[in-house]
Amino acid sequence: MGTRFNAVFPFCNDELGERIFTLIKNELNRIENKYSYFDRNSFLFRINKSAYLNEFWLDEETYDLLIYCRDYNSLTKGKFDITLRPIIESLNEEQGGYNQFGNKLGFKNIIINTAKKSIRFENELVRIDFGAIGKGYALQRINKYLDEFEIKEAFISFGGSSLLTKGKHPNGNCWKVSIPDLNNQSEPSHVFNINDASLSISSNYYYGDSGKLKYKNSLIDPDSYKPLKEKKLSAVYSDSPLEAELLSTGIILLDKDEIEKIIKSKPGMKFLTVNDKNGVVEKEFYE
Amino acid sequence: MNDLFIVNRREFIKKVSLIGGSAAALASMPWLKVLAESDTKSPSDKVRLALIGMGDRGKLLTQHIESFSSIINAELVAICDDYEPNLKAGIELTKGKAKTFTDYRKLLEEKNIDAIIIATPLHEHAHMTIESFNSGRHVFCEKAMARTMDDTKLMYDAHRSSGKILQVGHQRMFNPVYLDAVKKIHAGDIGQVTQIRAYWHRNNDWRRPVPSPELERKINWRHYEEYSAGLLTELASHQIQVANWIMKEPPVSVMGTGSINFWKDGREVYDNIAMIFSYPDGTQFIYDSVTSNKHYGCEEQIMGNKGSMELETNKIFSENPPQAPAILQLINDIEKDVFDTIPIGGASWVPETAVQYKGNFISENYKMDEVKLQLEAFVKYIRKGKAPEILSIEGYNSSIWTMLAEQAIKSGEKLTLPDKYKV
Repeated sequence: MGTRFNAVFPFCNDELGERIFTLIKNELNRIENKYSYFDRNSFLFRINKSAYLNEFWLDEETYDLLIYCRDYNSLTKGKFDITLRPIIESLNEEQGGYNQFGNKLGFKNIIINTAKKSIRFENELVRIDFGAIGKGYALQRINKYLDEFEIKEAFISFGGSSLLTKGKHPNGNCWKVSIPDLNNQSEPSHVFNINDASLSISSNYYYGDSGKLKYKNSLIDPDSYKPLKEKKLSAVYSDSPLEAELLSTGIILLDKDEIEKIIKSKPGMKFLTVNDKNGVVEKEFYE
Repeated sequence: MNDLFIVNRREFIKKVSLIGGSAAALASMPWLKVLAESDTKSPSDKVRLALIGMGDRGKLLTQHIESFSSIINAELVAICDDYEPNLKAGIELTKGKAKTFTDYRKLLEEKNIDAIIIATPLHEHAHMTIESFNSGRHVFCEKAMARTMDDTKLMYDAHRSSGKILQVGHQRMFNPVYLDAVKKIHAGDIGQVTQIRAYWHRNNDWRRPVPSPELERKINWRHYEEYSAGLLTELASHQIQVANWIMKEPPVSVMGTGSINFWKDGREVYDNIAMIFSYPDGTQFIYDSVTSNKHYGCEEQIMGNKGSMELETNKIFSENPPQAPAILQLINDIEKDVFDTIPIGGASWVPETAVQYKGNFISENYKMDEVKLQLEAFVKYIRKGKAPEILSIEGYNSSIWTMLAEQAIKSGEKLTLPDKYKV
């Protein structure tokens, strides 16, 4: 998944720790091999290559994942969308760019047959990309291993932006996680106290290891098909790492009213949004 | 006496033993060896202490002694103060067990006293110390040693001629963090030390309540030149000692400046000072102290070509820090029993994690009261009848250079130490 994975098990002996870590590594490799957007041998690559021409039957795991994405696409009024990858790829092309896609992308262009658990793409431009949920899904799978091995305390970080915690920090009553302020790296924007829960962060800006703020054009507004330019960050606290991942991508593009509707339907969850409009920072916290 | 102190004392003594295991470390810190030696409970080995000066510092020392006197096999048998409220407080702290005096000369006439602890205003240190030596007693004297360079030298000479112990209250020499730090600095962990910076900043008038106007100079003695050099003797002397300890020798020159630019309340001593001490190898020690801003607090920053240390906050920083993702910081925190926030990156697709470099701890992060440890060491030295001379020399060099710094500030000149004051 092109990122860094770290797991800390404070009270785990070496033997058990290595065993769990091996299982996790194998599972991550399995998910990567199956759902890589770029690997020509992956299951997802085959879907993307074939689903326009032919009805494509999904396995149970992929079908469930796709339904989950559909539900959250609906919940976020289309803002969370797994079909926008071709726009990002087109941004580097000299000709065409996002204008070539017209109205042909968007989840509505995936036709799902729930009876047969199969899909078909409405047009030749549609592609599925699980990149926005891969880490959350992997953390959800890892969580099951931790429960099976009765790991009570753990801190797992996927790329520094998708977190899964079990129990609490050995020296405290929770895991304290600080979210960076996009205008001042030395000051956190917010600190989440996490117990047995997950946190996912999305942003179109990030601090590189050099300490400089950098822009990434990977957040696409499904309404305009254009990459988001305004400095934005969202963070979602949830019991489910997959749900946190989906919603952090979704709510970053939603307005306050829509976010409030979602939080009301999700007891126990917490949202943070930070919008920087020409240097004026608006920070909202929802719970 | 609490369990935490007992546990930490054992840990510290174990640590001392480890330091003692290194010949180089032991040679540079010989005053620690005595702490690793076994305790004695024999009544005949009990050390009888007397304390002169029951002000804030004297009360603190009394509390410490009372709290662990049975462990170190010592007893505070007499106390003295010529200010009634202080003496009364001393009586309460010692539960009336210690004999009381208002004249230290009468106290020195007592027979059953092995050593004197002096915690009086600065200008009284010299004659009290010298008379204590003359009466055959060892002396623990709070820093700085004396109000003048001549008095400081007289104290040191009296210590040498009497053969009695002179320990000066530089407690950082017994602080586990400082001990580890200096050991590491001398081992080359931060490379060649090329500059030392230190400061002690407060934001208050440093004034004690005075019940009656005629007591102003007695109670607020730190504000008057006759009794004190203010920030120099009461604060800077500690950090000058640390710089000398790190550099393994005293400076060769000092220049400085100072003024009263904020607290224009009748005080005679500076409310802000700035100085530069130069060492023989060309290293500069830059020092400042103010009383109108506390933002930067108190710190000693030791800068080498491979790293830096901040001793008050127990931190070491490499000049080329390894990439420290949040997860490594978390592991470090868990191992050091620290509960801190875990900074995370931001964007979910970014393969690198931005983390501020906060440095690492110099030493294990447990609390150990260095004042108690230096008192324990003093008691053990008394039992032996001698203490490592380096303890007296560290105190002397710190005090004599503090006094010389005052002259440099007043004259506006860069001064070197006259030969007659060198030991």
